[in-house]
Amino acid sequence: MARLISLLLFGLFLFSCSQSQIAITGDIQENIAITETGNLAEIFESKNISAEYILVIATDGTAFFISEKSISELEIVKEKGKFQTETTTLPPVCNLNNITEICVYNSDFPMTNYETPFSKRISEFELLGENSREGHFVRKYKRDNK
Amino acid sequence: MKKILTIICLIVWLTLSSISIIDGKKTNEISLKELQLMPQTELKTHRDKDGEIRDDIWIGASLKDILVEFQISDFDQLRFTSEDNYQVRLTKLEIEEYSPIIALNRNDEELNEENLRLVVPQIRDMFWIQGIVSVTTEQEDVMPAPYTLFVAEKIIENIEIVPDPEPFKNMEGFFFIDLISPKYPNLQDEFWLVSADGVSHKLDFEKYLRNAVLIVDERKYNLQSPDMPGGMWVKNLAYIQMSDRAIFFKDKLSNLHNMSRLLGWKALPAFFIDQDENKIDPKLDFNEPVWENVKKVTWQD
Repeated sequence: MARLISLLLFGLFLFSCSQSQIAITGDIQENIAITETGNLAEIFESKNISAEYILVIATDGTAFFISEKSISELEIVKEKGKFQTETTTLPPVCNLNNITEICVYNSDFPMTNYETPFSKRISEFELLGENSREGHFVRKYKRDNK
Repeated sequence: MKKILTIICLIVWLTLSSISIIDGKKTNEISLKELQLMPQTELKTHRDKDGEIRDDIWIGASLKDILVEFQISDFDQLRFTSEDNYQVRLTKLEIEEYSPIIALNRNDEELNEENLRLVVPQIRDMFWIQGIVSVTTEQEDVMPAPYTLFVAEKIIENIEIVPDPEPFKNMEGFFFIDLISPKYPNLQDEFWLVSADGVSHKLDFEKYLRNAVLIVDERKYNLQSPDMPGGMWVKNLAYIQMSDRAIFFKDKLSNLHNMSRLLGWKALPAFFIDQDENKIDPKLDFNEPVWENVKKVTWQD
């Protein structure tokens, strides 16, 4: 019973977080959250977050994967209390609503058994397709519920 | 009961002795008998195999006819897979220009089901796959020119070269995963491997490369895998790419400009930037001192 209550409380916590911030997870020393809007590369710079790749994840399990050079093409916008990404240069899949998490990859992060926190996280998703536009390479993923 | 067993055996036999034509979610089977009933095309080939001249006459079903038979037209390339997991690809343009056949007869001798062979006289015979079990339609992969390129020799400096890397004996090398895992965020994908002489393969990591080994042989890195037929092993590996990230062997290529020609990049930037923010001219040879400490370069638009 206690376990069930803890799980419910954790779920509630995640839900409340999802409404007001974006969790930054993956290959970073400690997980943090961002509440700012604006250009994502600038937000990362102000928070000292480095990323060679990112996986942007929405509440429904939809996600997209882009590399370092494309991060500056993303704007974080808040509408009706929910975060979304907007871009005019990247493929349309990068306009994603209800984002709650950005998982970052850094190649110098220590590996365990050939894995980093990022590679573990992305392995929970199924690749749906890939696209390239104006030299930007994008992949679309969906959380694998199998 | 006997009847059921006979039917099961017949179904298994029919499946084993046919080629699966996979187009998206639709799979059709074509049997040897059906291939024999199609209009037959004759092709003459002339090959020099290690100094031995081989002239052959091949008769078989045209690949174009097979595609028409199954109403397959929406694809960019076909992937042929053999019983022992050998894989080759032909683009739509190659199929249209070269009119390949699935050969059923060679020099008046019927080929059995296990030896049905793709014959394309205009390309090297290492691509004439034998024992075809499936032909799969594919759309063109998105493989843009890479944004980040890592120097393989710098990664290898941190990898221990060991004698007899499993399961290979009497040679030394290291595991492919040790070279790529520090630089790729996700290994569950196809890697594009290119040898110094331009032979290229796109290989699925889990299926072919997880247990692959790079054998070090007189400054050459030869990729071998217990999960790949020997014919697919890549001699003198020069380049590896997945998504927009690549690893290249400086030793095997002269400079980035020539590398771009080998790989068919459509454009090249005026300069690349190394890890210390130094500008590098793509025409500058890899043996120039400026390249000595370069670990990675990024493409600058």
